[in-house]
Amino acid sequence: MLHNNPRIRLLLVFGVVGVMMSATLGDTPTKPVSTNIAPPAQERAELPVRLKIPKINVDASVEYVGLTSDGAMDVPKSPSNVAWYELGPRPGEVGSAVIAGHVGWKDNVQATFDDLPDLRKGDVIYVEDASGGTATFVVREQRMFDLNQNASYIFDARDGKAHLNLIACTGVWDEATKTYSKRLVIFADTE
Amino acid sequence: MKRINKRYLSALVVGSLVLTVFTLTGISRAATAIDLGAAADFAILAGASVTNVPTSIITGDVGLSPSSGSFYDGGVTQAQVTGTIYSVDAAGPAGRVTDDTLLTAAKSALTTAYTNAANATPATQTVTASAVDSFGPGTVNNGANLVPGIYKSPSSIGVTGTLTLDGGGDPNAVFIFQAVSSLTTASASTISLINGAQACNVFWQVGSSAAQLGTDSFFKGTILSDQTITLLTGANVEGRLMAFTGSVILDQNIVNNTPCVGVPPAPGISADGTGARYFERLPHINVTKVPSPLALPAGPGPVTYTYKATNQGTAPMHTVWVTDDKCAPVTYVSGDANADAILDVNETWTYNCFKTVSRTETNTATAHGYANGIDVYDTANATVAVGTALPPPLIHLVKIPSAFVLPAGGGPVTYSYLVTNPGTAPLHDVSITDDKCTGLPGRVVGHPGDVNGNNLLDPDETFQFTCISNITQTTTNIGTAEGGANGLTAIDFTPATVVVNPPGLPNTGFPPFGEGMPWNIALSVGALMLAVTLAVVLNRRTN
Repeated sequence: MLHNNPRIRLLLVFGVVGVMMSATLGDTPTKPVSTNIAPPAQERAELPVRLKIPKINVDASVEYVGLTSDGAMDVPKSPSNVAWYELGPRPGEVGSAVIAGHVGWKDNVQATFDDLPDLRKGDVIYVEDASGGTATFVVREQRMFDLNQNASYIFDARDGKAHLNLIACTGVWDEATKTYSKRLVIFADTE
Repeated sequence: MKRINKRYLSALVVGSLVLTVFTLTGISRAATAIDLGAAADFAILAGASVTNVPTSIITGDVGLSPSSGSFYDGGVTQAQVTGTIYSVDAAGPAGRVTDDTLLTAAKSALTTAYTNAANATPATQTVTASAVDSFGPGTVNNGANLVPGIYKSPSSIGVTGTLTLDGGGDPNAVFIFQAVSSLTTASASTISLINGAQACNVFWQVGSSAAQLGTDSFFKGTILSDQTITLLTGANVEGRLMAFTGSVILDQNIVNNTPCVGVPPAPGISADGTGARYFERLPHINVTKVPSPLALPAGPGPVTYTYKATNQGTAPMHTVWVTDDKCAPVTYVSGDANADAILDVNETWTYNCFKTVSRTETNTATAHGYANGIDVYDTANATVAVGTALPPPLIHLVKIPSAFVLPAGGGPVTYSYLVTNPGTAPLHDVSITDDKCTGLPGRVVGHPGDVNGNNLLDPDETFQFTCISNITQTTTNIGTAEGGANGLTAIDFTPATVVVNPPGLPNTGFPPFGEGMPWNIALSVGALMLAVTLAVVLNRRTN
């Protein structure tokens, strides 16, 4: 890919940043929505605030999302934010914490997870929490899911360890359903 | 995971202080089971001598070392032992096996176990120095249940009345008692095990002086003593008696080295097996096991085990099987009404297995079923007693959730529990608990199901309970029912799995590159592309 060359990527970034200076950056963290989940027996981790992935220059605010009316995980409102699934574990807690981000362009902003496919096994992901702590995850694998596939593998982990899984769209854009045909999932484990 | 946070540090410091305070008042601290290694199969192991006033019933091996086999007195006979009597030389009771190597290894393992038990730290509770009869009504714990942990006395430990050890729903809960001097239990005193506590996980380390168990008392656990262990008439032990230097002195006792019983295997849940976006119906298997007869007073004899596997879930199961860790083959007998090899919802299949049981033993049956991507298991335990007319206890737990599948996000689930007694001996100290659902009573007292009000679970009675838990992710929790009779403890672990469906995948895409991009960016990027191409071309030329 063209933008995989660091020299050219730099050029590109400078150009785009110049244009984006006037654009509105939607990186204000959203307030957590109240839920009626009883705290589980295990110690709770702090709420996530920022997601940082140095390898693909991601440094995004974390929104908190639940379900859409048709039972799907909701998505971040802003293309430059990412969304944590607040009905599941928090990053760093036992189980699979899930964060989704957009690809493509909206409101003059390039979406956060455009370069998610570039992540490889061993790459590092950081999640900063509300009290300044940082949870570190290391990429284990990359997998493609069909839109209507059972997503237990992404949202459930029963190995007693803490995981972080990142979801972004991929595949072919379908204009009729306004969605992509597949989802790319990056599976990461605590360091 | 790296966490760099000052608040955690201060929380740690405060936590340590709180812990120190609570150590004195008795907070639960995890203790590790003492590994007995080569000594594990012995019910009795002594250094100086073993004496016995017949008739005693001993299940497990008996060993004496370094003393000669001639220090087994005439009361110790093979007829009273379902196990092997070992001696270091050619002397000893008829039927003994001479194996100095094994006995040396067992004594060495005992030394290690004794040292580990004596050094286990920290103590949950330190018993006051002057107290004999430390545990029981009106004493140090004033009759309250003891939680798993380490209890230390700088002098002596005693037991009066009933001492209840509460496993808190953990089948691996360990209790270690450390008596620097002696251990004494009162006449007719009882140690009760509830909520998953097992005799195999209870250890009594006794130091410079002797251990004595009172007349007609019921004792649980392994005594690791340096000096002599004396059992007064009729004392009953579920555990082991190990005296490194001293003797073991018996008088018409029952000593049963019962093994630990484990929990059923965890369910296998494979989303790929569903072929569907969401889980809808789940299998849930429950198995019972009843030996006939429960007791073989005249010695070894044939036993028929009958197993019943029921589908209490919402999906018909295939690949159904029942196995037993000490009996084979387990054979299907009846129940598949439509002969389709599928265990339908609410259908029960009967299996059996035949075996000649030669010593008191506890065996575990495992039942398995599969449906819709989920492998489920349940176990059932049963003990057959050899050499006694007293039937061992049996207990059975059925556990059914109000919903097997919850939508994404989860919700409340009500679990129903039914505790019954499939055996013949009424059960005392019946307890019910669950590892992930709080609200069950633990030790059951005054249950309306106790129809005759005798505070026992009789074979025709049922104790029913419910417990509500808020489930937010797929959860397998394990209910534990426990009860005692005739000096033995019966336990049944019953898991139930509730699946919380995953959400649908998020719609994270905007229209691809170009379509959603404003014209000014598109223009800039276009210009950049041109510049890049130019740069590349120029770059090539200069090379």
